[in-house]
Amino acid sequence: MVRILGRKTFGLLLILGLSVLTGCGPKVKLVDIIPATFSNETGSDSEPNIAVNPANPHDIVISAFTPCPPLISTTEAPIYFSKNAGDTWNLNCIVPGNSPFSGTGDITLRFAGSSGVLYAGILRGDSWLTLNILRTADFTSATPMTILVNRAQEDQPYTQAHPHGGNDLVWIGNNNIADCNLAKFFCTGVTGQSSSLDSSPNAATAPPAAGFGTQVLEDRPTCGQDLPPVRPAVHHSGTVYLAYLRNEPGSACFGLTNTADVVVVRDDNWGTGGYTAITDPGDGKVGVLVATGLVMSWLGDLGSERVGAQLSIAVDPKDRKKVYVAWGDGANPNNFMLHLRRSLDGGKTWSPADIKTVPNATNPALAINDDGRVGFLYQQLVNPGTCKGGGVACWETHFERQKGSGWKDLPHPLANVPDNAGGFPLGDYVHLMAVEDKFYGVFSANNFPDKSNFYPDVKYQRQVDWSTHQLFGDAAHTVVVSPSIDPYFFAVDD
Amino acid sequence: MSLYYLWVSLLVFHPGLSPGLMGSPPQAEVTAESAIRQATFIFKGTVVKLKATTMPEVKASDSTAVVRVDEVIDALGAPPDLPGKEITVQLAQPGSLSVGQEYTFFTKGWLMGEGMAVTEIAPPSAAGNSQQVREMVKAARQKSADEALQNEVSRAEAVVVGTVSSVAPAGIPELPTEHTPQMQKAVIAVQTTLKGHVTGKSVTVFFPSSDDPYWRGAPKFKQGQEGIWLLHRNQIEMRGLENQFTALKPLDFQTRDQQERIQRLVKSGR
Repeated sequence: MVRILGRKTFGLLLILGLSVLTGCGPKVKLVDIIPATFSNETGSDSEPNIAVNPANPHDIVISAFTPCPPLISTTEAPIYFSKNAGDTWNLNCIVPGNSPFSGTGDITLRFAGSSGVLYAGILRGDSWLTLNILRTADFTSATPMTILVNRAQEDQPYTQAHPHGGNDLVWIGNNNIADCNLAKFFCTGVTGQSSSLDSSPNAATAPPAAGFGTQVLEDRPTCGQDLPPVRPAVHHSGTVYLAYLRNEPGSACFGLTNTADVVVVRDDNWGTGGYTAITDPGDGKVGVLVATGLVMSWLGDLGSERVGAQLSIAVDPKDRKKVYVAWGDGANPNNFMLHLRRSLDGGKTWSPADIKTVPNATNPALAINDDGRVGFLYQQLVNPGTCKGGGVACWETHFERQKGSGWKDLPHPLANVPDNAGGFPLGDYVHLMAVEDKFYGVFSANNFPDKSNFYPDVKYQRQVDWSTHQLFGDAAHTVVVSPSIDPYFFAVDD
Repeated sequence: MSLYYLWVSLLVFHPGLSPGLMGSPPQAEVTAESAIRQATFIFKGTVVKLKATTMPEVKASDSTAVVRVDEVIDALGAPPDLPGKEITVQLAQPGSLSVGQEYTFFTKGWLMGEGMAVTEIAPPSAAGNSQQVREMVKAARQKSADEALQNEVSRAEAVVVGTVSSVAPAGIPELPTEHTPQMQKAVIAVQTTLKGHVTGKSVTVFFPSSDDPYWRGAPKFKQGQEGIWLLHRNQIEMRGLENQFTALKPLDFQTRDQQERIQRLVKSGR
């Protein structure tokens, strides 16, 4: 009897102990990725992006507007990488076109899978609006990434990749400004249908241009140019969705506002069908109008952050017909609002009302894990807020998961930080992705060191004294450095 | 020892810096000056261990060594606490180092993480008088900086010394993107023209006011600002800016104390 009770007691204690150790809620890892040896940096490392290798999630790469330390290079911009699932980070300068002030221009990164090849779509930091499509088979090497495509007059390349048939397929949505037809501007195009896609059916090994070709997605007249975001989402069955923001003919067209439609196109065979699988029942044009007549502030400020063209799309790995899209709108940037809608029939019809709305927020990012759970990352201005570090307004970075018909936020924002680190502190986008059942994301935030500003157990690699709320450039804590904007990696496992 | 003799000693007595001499194997042509010019991190260090690394991200091989940084000679933006730290060096020539020996390393940064890894531009020289190496590096850096400024001066149509008398919106339509420069125009009251010809006593220069990351490095001007402008036409392809003066690169605006240097560069470029 004693022996039996002992076993039961031991079992209960074991369960309790494991519960205490693992916690009952989601497991969250949050890391400021500025490396220890780069602790003296004070740049505005905003507009981050993340690539987790689906074939080996220990390999993670992040980009941001970080100039390469001249100690490494004046010609190549940096990436940050981790080989241990995000616990520690290194900086390696391999992206062509470094600017000493911002590093690269717009950049997004992705792995396809087992090839281990990293792809990037960038605007070069040393040449205005110049698109490069890049790859490297070894992101730890000092060798610069290979340039596959080099083209002028482009904006906001957004990368997605997926393996298929032994090849790496890569999609890079972009706003082909060359097709702007606004007579008063310097445009070479005639249609103004600028939402476009560059894609390759075999990007890993083929010599440049590695099969990349470009095509126009926009099928409707515009005011002269679409808005910048064109976002791909790929399902393992071969269904590919792209979302973009059509700029309506009656729009103020890059005045103080734009009037835009959210459009979703689909292809059911890895893009070979030309993305014409769904048409709108209203006008019969390619691409379903998810929402129309949306007035969007054009580069007005929400707090210190410019807003105007925010968009994200994700498809459910368990159901290729279940797709979510999120965007931001509002004529007044101070009231910029995020909207989330869902389609259950492959993008043909959409929920007429928002399934979630977030006021005073920007940078929506969606991902769906292998369990079919939706993750929603966004950054919300709260004024007055509760963050520490000066000022009144705070940027809160939230990560919510869909639970049944509702949404569940983490018990604490990932970050709740002061909006006092200069203009453009966040960037025009963040990114969220899922590998199996785990979510991975990146965002930029003020690094003022107060533990209450961050999710519990946040880790800084850079030199910090949490008790005095100071950052340092050296391990001996003799060289004080100012707070600034850093990229933060997070992973959520629930 | 004069700088001249140090150059000679580096070139003649170190096989890595004098290819073909002393029976060294053939390798890429690297002179002391080019090694210094290519190097972003020059330091004196002691070899702690061969075929080893300080970072798990770098695999140990015949081409790697752990080196303790004894003295930083030149490293723009380096961590302030590098001296005394052990770092990983990817060697230009395996077998060129001995444990316990101190050398002067000419390297380029590679990885910055919990530790640091660098790659050698050329095999190191025996550690000598670091002050003399510093002087060589300083001379090489000044030469590089002068060449960069000389290049920009040569490309400029006009170089003027003056004061900004007014700033106003440029009033030109701009290609609508998130990266629009949001051009403004500054009128500069010209005191002296160092190069080229400007009509009248003032000149108008267009500049970006945007805080977009792409334009972070472009000089921004304010009323009352004094300085030297390197003025270009058609520096960027943008409707409305055809044949207008711009100063878009960081080097295109210099402070008044650079006037003598720029005058010298203007003369030498003629």
